[in-house]
Amino acid sequence: MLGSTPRFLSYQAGESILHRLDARTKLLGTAVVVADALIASIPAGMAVAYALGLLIGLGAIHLLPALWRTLRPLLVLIALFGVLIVIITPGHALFRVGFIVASRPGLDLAIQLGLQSFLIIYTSSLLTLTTPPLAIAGALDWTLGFLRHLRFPVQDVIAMVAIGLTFVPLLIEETRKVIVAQRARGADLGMNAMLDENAMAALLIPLLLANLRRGEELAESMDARLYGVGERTSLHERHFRRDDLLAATVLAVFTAADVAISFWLHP
Amino acid sequence: MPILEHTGRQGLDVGPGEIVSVLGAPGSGKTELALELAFLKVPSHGEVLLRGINPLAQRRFFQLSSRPHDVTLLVQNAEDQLFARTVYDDVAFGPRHLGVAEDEVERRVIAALEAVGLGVGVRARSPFALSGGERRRVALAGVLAMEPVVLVLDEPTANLDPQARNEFLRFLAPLRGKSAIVWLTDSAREATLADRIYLLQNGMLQPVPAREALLTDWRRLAEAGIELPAVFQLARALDERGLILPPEGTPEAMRQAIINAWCESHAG
Repeated sequence: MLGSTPRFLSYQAGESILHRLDARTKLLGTAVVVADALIASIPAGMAVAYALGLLIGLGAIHLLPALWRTLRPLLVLIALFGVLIVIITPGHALFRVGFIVASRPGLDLAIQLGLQSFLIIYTSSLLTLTTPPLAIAGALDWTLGFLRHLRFPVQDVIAMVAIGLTFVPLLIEETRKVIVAQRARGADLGMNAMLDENAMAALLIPLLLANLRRGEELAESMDARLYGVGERTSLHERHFRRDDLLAATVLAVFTAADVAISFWLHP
Repeated sequence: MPILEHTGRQGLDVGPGEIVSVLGAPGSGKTELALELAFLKVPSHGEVLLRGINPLAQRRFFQLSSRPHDVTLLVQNAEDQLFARTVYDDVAFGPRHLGVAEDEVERRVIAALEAVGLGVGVRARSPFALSGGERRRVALAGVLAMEPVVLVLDEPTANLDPQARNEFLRFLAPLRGKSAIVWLTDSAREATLADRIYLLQNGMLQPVPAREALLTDWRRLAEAGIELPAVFQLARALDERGLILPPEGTPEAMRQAIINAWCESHAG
């Protein structure tokens, strides 16, 4: 049942540079790239952010073709939102079809938001493709550890995030199973099913129930194995290495360039 | 002429009104075969023919579900797929989607619930208020009420209580003689209830003797990873320890052979 193409968000074991980096480096690095994408407000800044994204992608080059296949459908969605933004943003009209007006500021905004969201999704996919969910959770724990002093239940929230990430592929599998089962009973789950509340109920209720049940079972089995009793320690102590320093340097250089271009060269 | 035919996996066919069993160990590919037979998955080898034609090949552009509605599958753990507010509505889901008139739907739902041994009182209840075994019966009633030409059952008795397991054939009563039934199972005892049996091993099918004759070929079944009645498990264990036993036989004959062989080896 498991396909050969990596699914969105699910970890693929491997030996690439990105795999070898410390999860904390990758997590913070992803945050930095997201920030870079968001501050890049002019084309040159965006080019710098994309160059950084490309450089990171080279660190796990064998995953790129599969990643591209997974992200391709997203382009359609981004394009659709882009069209919507072009239409609803007021400003100097580029052209008009009937009462629909395409504005110049709208076009700029659509391109900017489209490029930003694609880069963000691409980078975070690289993070989850090359980092096991538990390692991401560990990195989050390390990063957000200071919140513990504010009596924020960091550990529990992290555990929820980790479990959530782990269960994404299972959820996809579950959805497939329900679709097959309801189609076998004669349900039509094509495009027009979206408008049929009965067909949607046939899909959503079994899914929801399966997840509630799984959550309950998981909670019970975690309790049975004494989860949450005593302090949590890690089996694999993580250490920053030279690669991580190198990665941090690259990130810092690109971010500095991006900030410089976007703020000082900004018209 | 067979009503349903699989030309891949070395072949399988079902005649109208016939019960054919596919016996396979866990992991032998039963679920995949079930999806192929119900036109929910395109087979990697060969094709599946309904009344001699492949309906999926007739598929037109932009038409997602061209799968024939007279072939129905009861998926594994089908009790997880119930969703309607009442048992009645859930069983009626299939027939309503077939466009059956409401009074005919009512007749079918009542007949189906009766066949699976659920009383009148259950109809208005929520399926989620029932036990797991009862929900499985509701799911089965749901496919019975569709009165399919071919019904594929994917391990329908797994996780059922022993009594429901033993009665399962009776649940299928409304379809007996009318619909062709393909019953996928990992239990040799259940397989013997069918008119004909195929053994599924590494995704490949081969016909094996039906009814009680199935068990006489116990060495082959054991090799395929099928769980056998206790007497054959004993025979296998003794066989491995060097006790000479006949290569095949009915459970009764095998029991006698074991006793004889044991007495002989302990006589001297």
